[in-house]
Amino acid sequence: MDSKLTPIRTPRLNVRTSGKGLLLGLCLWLLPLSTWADEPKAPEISVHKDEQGSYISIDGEPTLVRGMNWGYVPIGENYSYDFWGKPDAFVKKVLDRDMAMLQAMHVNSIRQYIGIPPRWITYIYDTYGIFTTVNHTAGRYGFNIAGTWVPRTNYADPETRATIAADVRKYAKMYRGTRGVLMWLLGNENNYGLEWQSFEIENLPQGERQRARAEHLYSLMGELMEVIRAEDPGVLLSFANGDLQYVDLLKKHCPLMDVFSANVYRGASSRDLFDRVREELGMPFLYSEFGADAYDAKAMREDGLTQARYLLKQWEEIYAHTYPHGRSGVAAGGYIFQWSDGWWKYKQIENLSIHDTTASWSNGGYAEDYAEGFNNMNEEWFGIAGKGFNNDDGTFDVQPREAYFALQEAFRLNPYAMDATNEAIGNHFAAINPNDYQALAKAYRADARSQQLSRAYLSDLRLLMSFHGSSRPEEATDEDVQGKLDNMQSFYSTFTFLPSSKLRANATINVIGNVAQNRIDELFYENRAAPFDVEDPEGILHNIQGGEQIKIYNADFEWETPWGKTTGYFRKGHYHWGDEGDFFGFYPEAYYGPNIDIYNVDVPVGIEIEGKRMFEGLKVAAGPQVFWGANPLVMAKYFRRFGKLDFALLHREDISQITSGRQIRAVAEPQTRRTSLNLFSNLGGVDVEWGMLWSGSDKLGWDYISAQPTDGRGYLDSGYLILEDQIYWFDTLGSKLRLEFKEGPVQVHAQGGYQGLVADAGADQRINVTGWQLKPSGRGNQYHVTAGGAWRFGFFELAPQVLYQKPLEGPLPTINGLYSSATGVFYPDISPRDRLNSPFLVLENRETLAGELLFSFDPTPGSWMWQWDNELREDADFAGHLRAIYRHQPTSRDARIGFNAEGGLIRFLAAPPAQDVWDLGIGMTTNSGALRTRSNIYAGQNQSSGMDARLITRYGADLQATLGGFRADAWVKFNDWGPFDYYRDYNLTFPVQGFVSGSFQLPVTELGDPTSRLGISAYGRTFDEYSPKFNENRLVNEEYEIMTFWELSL
Amino acid sequence: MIVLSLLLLMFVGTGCGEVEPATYFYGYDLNELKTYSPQDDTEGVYPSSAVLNNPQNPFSQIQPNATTKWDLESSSSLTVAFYGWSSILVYEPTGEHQYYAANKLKGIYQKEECAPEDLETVREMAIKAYESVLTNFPTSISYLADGETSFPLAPLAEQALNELEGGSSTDPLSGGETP
Repeated sequence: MDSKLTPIRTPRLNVRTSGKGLLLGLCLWLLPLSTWADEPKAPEISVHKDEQGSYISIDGEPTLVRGMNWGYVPIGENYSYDFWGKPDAFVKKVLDRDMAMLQAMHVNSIRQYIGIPPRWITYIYDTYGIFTTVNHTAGRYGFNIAGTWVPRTNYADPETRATIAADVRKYAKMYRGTRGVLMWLLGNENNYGLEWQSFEIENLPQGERQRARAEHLYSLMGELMEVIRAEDPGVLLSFANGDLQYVDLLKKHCPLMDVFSANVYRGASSRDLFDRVREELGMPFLYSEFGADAYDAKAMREDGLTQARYLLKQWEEIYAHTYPHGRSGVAAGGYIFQWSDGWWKYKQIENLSIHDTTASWSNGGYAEDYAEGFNNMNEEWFGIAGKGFNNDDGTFDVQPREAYFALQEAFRLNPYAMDATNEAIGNHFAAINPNDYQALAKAYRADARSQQLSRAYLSDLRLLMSFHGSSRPEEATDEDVQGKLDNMQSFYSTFTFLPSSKLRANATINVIGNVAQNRIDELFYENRAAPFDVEDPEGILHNIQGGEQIKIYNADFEWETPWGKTTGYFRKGHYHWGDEGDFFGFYPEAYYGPNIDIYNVDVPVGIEIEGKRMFEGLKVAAGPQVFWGANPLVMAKYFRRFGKLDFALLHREDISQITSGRQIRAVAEPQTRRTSLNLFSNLGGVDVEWGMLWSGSDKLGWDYISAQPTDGRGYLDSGYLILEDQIYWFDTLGSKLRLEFKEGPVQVHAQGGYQGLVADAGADQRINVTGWQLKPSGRGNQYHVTAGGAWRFGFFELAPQVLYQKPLEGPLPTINGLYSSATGVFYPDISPRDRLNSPFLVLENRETLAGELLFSFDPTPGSWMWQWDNELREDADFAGHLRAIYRHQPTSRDARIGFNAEGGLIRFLAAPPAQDVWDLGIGMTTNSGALRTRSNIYAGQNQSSGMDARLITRYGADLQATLGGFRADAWVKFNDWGPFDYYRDYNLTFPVQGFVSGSFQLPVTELGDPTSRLGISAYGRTFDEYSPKFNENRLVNEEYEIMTFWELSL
Repeated sequence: MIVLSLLLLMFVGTGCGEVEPATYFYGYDLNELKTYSPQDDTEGVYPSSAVLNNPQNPFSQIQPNATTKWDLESSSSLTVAFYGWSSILVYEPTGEHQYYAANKLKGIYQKEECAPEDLETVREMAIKAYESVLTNFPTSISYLADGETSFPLAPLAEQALNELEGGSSTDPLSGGETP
């Protein structure tokens, strides 16, 4: 078998790029090949004829043209697509992929319409050994005559003939001497397009008109061949006829023709075609088009197998008719129609992105799907390779069909070899079974299909269903509790979109069925779809079923470009920039857990852009609310490293003022701008970080008042002097210095900072040294120092820390005003400032001297206890920590803005008094075989976040445990605030609150992973005089809820 | 260094102007505040907060409380009372605050306690303020001095509108008188 193999030519590109670099190579590439490469000799191409037949000879060797009608038209484009007009890099990429595949198939020639630049002909030949037959259609589809497009070419018209001849001459000159040209081919079954009308033709009898037109056609072809021969004497000449029609005219008018070509679709065999060519023309015959479609019009399905069978039969016939095998001896090869499917062929300007399965003509030669009266030829399915949608780089992939592999095997035989007898040819083709390649072709198709399907898919589904039974009073005034039953359904589906490998997007939709109206917690995500009352103009209430039943739950996207990565988020958290130079917390972390669901807020929402290449180090964030309560803003950070010095410059600019209140459930800071410069280095083993802040410059000139204690009577006998002042430039400045070093088991941290009255920023977002919770405020109007250290011994760590911070201007006291009608002087109230009336505040920056002690045990440092997800990842048999914090607060603070249960803004106008507070907490993790637990115990003495002066002492515990497929969750709280912020705002507490839940779930890798489970839970609380629904006349002062739930997750 | 220089320039550009020392505050002498100077024709009309930007307004920073607003109503000038009611209205939008703000504008117009060229503007502002009572607070009430007897504000607003637009006056609160 090997002795019959045709050596496949793959000449090396003789390019002297000399390894001097890509740029030089690129420059050279842009020059015509002839100017920069040694010119190899163009092969000698000729036709040999004798009594045994004829063949095409290349450098003296008889050569079978294993040709391909190759073209490049992406899905969505049509015949007007200008492939050769694309950038060189693109063209080269396409050629390198397709020509390599053709070379591997042993194809040695492609047919190309004029327009292919000569340098690419040479490139294809030099690189892949593939010749090009250049084809001028000679007016087949119309021609531009004297500036006007004439769709039906009149070959009898002298001007038309002259114009076409001039055009052919131009191209003949252009391709003259081009290495890689196999031959010149004129026309494309022009004999099927003789449609023009003229006085001369119409005077003939009906039956003679077509032949009269054909005389003009072929006489022109003869003239065109003379033109080409005159310009390029060595090139072979041919004409692409439609089958054998008018072959006598061709012989009569085209004496210069070297090779006869024809588009032939006769099925598996062309029957007498080769013999007639030998008899009537006596020259080599080449199929300019032939083949079979890969679609079964009867079965309405792709059928690459039958296509392969046809092509094998057709090629076997060609081989049998090659020189000198005793039959016609004129077969010189052929150009398979075609390389890849033409999605534009049917209708040509419509449905360009649809692979149309409409058969547009009928041909009994293809018997498998032929039926009398029905079309069976599917123009869009003639490729021996399927075609994929465009990739990121604009190119498309092809999926070879069975014919590709079968012909690859067939072409291994050289029919002109000495041992290629008729019998050998027959045996060779008989041994090729297209079925052997079906699995391979299917794999290509399946891969393409899966890539297409993976562009959009349903990536996650979650269904929550629950039944709720509760016993509760509706209002404090109710004297009885009411028992009710209700149910709820909530469905989440996540769609993932991958339009390209560089762009990925996700969107989750939430659909709500019924909303339980008997829950004891009135705020929950699904409640947005609860029925509500609307009052009509007559004052009659109407209950409307369903609010926001369907909502986009969250969405995000990532888009990679050469210059940067863009990330968009909607209700999906993002990390802070604290570890990359954002020392002043301009861009805080935005993970809010269940809170954004509870309060039904659409935050965060925005985009992040991380620069690459020339933008390396640049990061930009922008959006309407990039973190909860943020104004619409844009911010940029530039980070660079100079030797051992890290440098970061940040600027944040609020674009407008967001409206505080119900919709965002937040009180936005006034619109402002802030800039910081941060430097970091390690000096002598000490990490030193210094930052300078400039913030709130748009508050310059704002008036404010402050209070100064006095021994005298003061303002309205309050003991305070009241001062009026305004914001100056120095109030906008701040600075911070942080030092950290590690020596053996000891790690020490110290920080000091000053921030002017309006030099607001955010708190440091990082974990410093260990899991301390005590951190200085990032708000303006304060200075602070903090110091602490962690000492590790064995698996233990002891970490004390102290903090002192003090506002530059203290809080305002409460002084009731008056108006003296006698003097006409108005003494206004003095009350603690709030965000709506003051350029600065005293809140978490209140004067504080605090200490924190952290003691922990963790035998598996690999899962660091203070990592954000340690609760899920901790793998120690036992790990735990004890935390104690004490805050000495010698003064009060200014007033906060809060929200009521309906989401309305509340100005508290006052604040709790000066008070020391403390917190104590214990956290434990155990992993004992199948039993895993996470638990916390806490106690504390704390103040309301509103204005109530009552100090509460609260304590409680929680537990989460899994044992195989069983999961338990429980918590209990004593004398603690209720579940939502407004309970603390109004200092509303419950004597006891508790929750317990048990469920069976499918196994999961980690705690917290989505799973399917079925369970039951109980939740309740008791009331006292500090609880919102307490009624001393009610016998039962408590409420509870029992829920059974199903959670199905994929 | 370039960046540092730019930052320095930015700080300098902030304006290191002259720093005035803080001054002690002993209340506002409102005796001289008798003539209203409107800066924006939405002052005193819900939901505008423009009155807080009027430099003449003594209550832009701190508003009267529940007691002093009535003290101002009963014994200050129409202009002072207007600033009081309209400033409270911004933070506590009630029909009562809107009505009395409108009422003071009407009084200023009728008693010509503004510049002559502002008279027509003030009249139109009063009309808009009364219309706001009808539009935004149609069911609001207020109380007589006894603190117990309530009366609806919408009919009074309608009467005042009728008067300002050319009809007769039967508004018992016309001219700033309290019930």
